[in-house]
Amino acid sequence: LALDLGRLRKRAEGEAQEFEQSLAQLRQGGLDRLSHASLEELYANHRRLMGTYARVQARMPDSQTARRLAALAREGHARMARVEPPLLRQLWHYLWISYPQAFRRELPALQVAGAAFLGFVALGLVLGTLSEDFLAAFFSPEAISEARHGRIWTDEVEERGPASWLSTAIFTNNLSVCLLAWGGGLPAGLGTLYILWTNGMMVGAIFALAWRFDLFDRLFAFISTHGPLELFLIVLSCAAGLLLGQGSVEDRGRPRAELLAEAGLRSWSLVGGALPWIVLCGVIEGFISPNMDVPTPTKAAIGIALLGLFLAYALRKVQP
Amino acid sequence: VVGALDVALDLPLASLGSRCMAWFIDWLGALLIYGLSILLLQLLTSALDLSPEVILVCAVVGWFAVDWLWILGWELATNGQTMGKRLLGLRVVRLDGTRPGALAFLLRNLLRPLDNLPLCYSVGSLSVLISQRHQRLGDMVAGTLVVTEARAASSAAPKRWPSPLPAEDMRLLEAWFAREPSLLPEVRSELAERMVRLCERRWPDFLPPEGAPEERLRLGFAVEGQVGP
Repeated sequence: LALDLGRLRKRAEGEAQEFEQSLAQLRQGGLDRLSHASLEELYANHRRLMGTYARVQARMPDSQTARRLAALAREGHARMARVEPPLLRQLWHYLWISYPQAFRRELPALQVAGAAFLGFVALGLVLGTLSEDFLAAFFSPEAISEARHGRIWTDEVEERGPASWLSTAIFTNNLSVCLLAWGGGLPAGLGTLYILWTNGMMVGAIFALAWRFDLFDRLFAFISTHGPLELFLIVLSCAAGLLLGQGSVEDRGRPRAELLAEAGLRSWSLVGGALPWIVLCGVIEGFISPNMDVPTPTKAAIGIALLGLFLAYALRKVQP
Repeated sequence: VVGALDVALDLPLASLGSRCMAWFIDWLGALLIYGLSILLLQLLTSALDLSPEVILVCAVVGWFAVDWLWILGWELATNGQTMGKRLLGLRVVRLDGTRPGALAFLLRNLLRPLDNLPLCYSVGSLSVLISQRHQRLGDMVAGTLVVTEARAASSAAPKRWPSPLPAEDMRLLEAWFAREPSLLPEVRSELAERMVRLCERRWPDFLPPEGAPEERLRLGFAVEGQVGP
């Protein structure tokens, strides 16, 4: 028996060395760079190593030889499993092919999120119109007092800083909000619902404030350029969050880890393609929206055109 | 996980402590680079007489990149390792032990703020502690694990063996090479002499004839690395 174990160890050491040489080639250039013969040798060596590892682990569990073989086997398993296309090609495929498909597929989730958002906006508008106390929950006393005197904060956006800084700050903030709206769906969709609730009520309260103090035309002059697309994209992120939440609670007789991973992929495919458009919205909100020299109809036309462009892109029919 | 020939492979999961330490190192690196970049930018702006807006915009974009993209960028570039993870020998892998794709890295990192809630990664830490596979929420959604990457080739492993060698002697020699770097010098010398006597009795011409006992053993068994402190 002792001689047998000795032979097994010796054989294991030899195979480990052989496989390590094959791995060294793999570490340098990846599977793509290996010739057909090297690939065959690599896979043959790996299979041999796995067989020997199984025998060593069965007869000498947790010995140094077994640990060495396990480490090599794990590395081989990880490196040899699959080759993904280059990152840029994946990105292009996702934005041009997968995203429109995902958008069409997830339209029901978008409708649910949109309906919830509009419901919260309507609630905020009604409550804000009926009661000034409700507005005090969203605006500081100074902001309400200024509105009473015919001034609204959108008039002073330009004074807050240069347009370049403003647009950068806005788009980074909006990206964070959209990603949180999506990720917040993980605990049963609760975080997403909270973001839908707060954003919807806030938009409703802003409309109520503008209506109550007759500031609607100036508010419209500010939000008409970026508002339609920006709000749509926030609702879209919330729809993705709800999909993620669905994956965390639904029961389809499969392991939770599998369902969550599936929901993660599905929900991300809806929100990911919207991120470049959020950057675009931020740039417009920083440069065009606060500029009161641009006539309101022009701004509104730009806003509608932007939303139309996004919808044309997202609803594009793509061959499966 | 199940590897080739249906052989089971264990994935050694990373502990919460090592993950926290890796994150801390990553953040320190990020802050250092961010601070230095802003400083450099300030110098450039004053030297080239650029508008201060440039610094403002770069500061905002830079902070966003540190917050959302720093760790993601590292993991994409190094196949699942960041600066901290590399120092601590950790790696992100898929549930089946293979290398994750770009999408998996993206998902686990974009969900990081959720794990960070309410502060100091409380949700993520709790999730690592209670989940069977030590996953934070981002890992669960992306289908990834953080594992300890054992060194494939132990530098203390002998490269050649005299043949035939009884298993008991082999085990003794293996134990010697594994423990030898941590022994006190006087203990190491004494044990090395005994190992050399044992080897000479069994295989008279196997070890080199001259040199210190530790050196003779190292050369005889072709072990890499320096013997002694």
